[in-house]
Amino acid sequence: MVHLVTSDNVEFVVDKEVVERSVLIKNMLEDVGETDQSIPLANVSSAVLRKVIEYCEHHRGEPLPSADADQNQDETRKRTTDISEWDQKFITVDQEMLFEIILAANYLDIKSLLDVGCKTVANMIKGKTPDEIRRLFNIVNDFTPEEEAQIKKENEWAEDR
Amino acid sequence: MNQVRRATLELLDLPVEILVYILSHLDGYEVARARQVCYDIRHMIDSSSDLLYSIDLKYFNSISFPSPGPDRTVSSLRKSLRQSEFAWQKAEYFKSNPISIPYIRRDAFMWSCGILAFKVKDENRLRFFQPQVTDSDHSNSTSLREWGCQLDSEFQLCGFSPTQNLLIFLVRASPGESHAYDLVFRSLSEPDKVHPEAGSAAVKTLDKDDFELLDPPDVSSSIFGHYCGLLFSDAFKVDGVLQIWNWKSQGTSLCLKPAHEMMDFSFLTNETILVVNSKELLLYSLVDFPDALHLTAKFSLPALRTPFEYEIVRIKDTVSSHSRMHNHIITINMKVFGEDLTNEPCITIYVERNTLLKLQSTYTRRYGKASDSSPSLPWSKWGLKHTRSFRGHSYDSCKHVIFGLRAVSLFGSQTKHPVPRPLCIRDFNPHRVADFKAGNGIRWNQRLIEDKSLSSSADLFLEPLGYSLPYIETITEEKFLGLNLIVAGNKVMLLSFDFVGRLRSPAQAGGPHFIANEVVDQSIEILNFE
Repeated sequence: MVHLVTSDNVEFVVDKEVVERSVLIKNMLEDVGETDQSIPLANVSSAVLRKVIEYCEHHRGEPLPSADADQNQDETRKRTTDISEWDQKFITVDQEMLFEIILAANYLDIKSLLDVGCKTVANMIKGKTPDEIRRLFNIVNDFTPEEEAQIKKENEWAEDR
Repeated sequence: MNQVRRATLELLDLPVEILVYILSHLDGYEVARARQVCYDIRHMIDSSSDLLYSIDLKYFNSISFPSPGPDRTVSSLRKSLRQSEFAWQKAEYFKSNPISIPYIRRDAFMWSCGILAFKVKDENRLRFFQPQVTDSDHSNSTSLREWGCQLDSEFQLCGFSPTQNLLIFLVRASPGESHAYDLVFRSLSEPDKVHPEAGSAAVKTLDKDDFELLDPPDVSSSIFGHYCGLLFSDAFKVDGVLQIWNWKSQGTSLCLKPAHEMMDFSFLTNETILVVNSKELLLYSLVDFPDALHLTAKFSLPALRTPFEYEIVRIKDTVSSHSRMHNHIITINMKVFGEDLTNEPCITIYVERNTLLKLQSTYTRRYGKASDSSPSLPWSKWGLKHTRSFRGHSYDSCKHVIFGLRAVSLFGSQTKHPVPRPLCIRDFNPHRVADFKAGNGIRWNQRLIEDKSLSSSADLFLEPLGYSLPYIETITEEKFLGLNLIVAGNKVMLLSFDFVGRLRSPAQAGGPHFIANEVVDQSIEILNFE
């Protein structure tokens, strides 16, 4: 069992096999060997870690993607529709939690979870107009009207299809 | 979504590399749209070669393909894609030294994908020539790869595919057999050998009975991935046999003998075949291959006035562009025949492959499931809106040569004696047209053609021809002499023959001392748009 301590000082005790889906933790454990000392995760809150562990529990035992395979699957990786049903349900959270999970997955180095998060955001962007994207993500349009007209003109080819 | 509560962590708070990674899951169109959201996102996209390349691939209707060479980073791929596209737009090319090809007396020749194949006259021999630009760093050096094979018996060259390294030809079956031909699968690079991936060295084709009906049959062929097809037809248009094989597996084939005539065919995708005859275009689905070939749609050709009829209808489709493009142009060449005609009018119809595929559902919505007896979608319902037509006085092999969404022609009409003609490049890429209309970029010497440029064809046709696909045209200043033209990727290759008369007195070419058809030399000129 591995002891993890979150930024808000909550301790989690997790199966080694589960927690090793995080390449960061896996490498840490390999470096220090068997230890009872808890690992501090200063960048992850308990609410987020709970979700991350839920994900890792569900995917326990699945092979980790190798760095090699990643190179070759450049094209398939980018297909955004292939999120499994369970993952889709799992990632149906509010925006803030979604971004927190992405940050945590990036920090803990859990490639498959990072992909699920990023694909979900990509799917939210898909098929929307720039204005809809702004509204959805609370982004301020900081172009001047002239710049906006110019950039719209530059992208006219991508609109009508 | 919850719009009231302001999230403390927002999309743009994510680190740039994660945002770029998110955007990398979008296609080029979506990335181009996301670029309009705000400064930060635009800056992020403009600083990422990967994202800019994904936009460019969509814009230029290209698919990323690895090229040989040491420096194949995304930014260098993008650079060479853009350079080449600008070279086409500006009609700026560099010429390699012309390559002279030994003159061969021949029964037949075939030129495709940069390979020239000759069937030597009165001999059972094939010879291949492939010009190569040895150094692509803008030097002019070229070389000629040359190979061939000697066969045991009389044969008929059908086709070859460099991507599959496949060469196919027909050999007459022995008299006792119930089939007329053996179709032989050889390796293109080593034509003495059976293709290593072929399911069998040869397959039987065409029933003796059908053969006698069609004798002598015209044969057209098409190779697409593991599919290989042959169409046997005859001049009287009474019947036709289309046979398709999975040449990589043994004994997997399908034979189609519909109630209508067939003049030519081509694979549009690995699921769809286009068949043409003197009235219509027909689409067949290969999804149940080898059990069945389903007719999915029929589209009428423009109706001719009496007494005219379509004598020849041919599909010109560059299979080599399939692997590099999301979409491409297909041309249908039609020769019109009629008693009072003084010339042989040739009409070429341009249509996008994806349009034909989409029109299948239009057809089904209108007429339900297609069958041999169901009606065709009238020309006025599809052709007017989705095609562009060109008219010529006679068939000219230097016209309407397609690669992807670009067409190359020698400008002006061919006369009896070859005259130098400028090269005309037409870009049908709808993104380029939209961009050009919006006034973006430099206009070089291009012009946009979007209205009716074809003079009336009411003398031949009952219906107006299509002039819907707009294009951007560039014409070179330089003129070229060519009897045949192909486009292979970013190269235009012109095959020309030198005549005795022209060689001896070039100033009088076409003059009274011209001796036609006495070919002494043939050469290939290569224009590199890189």
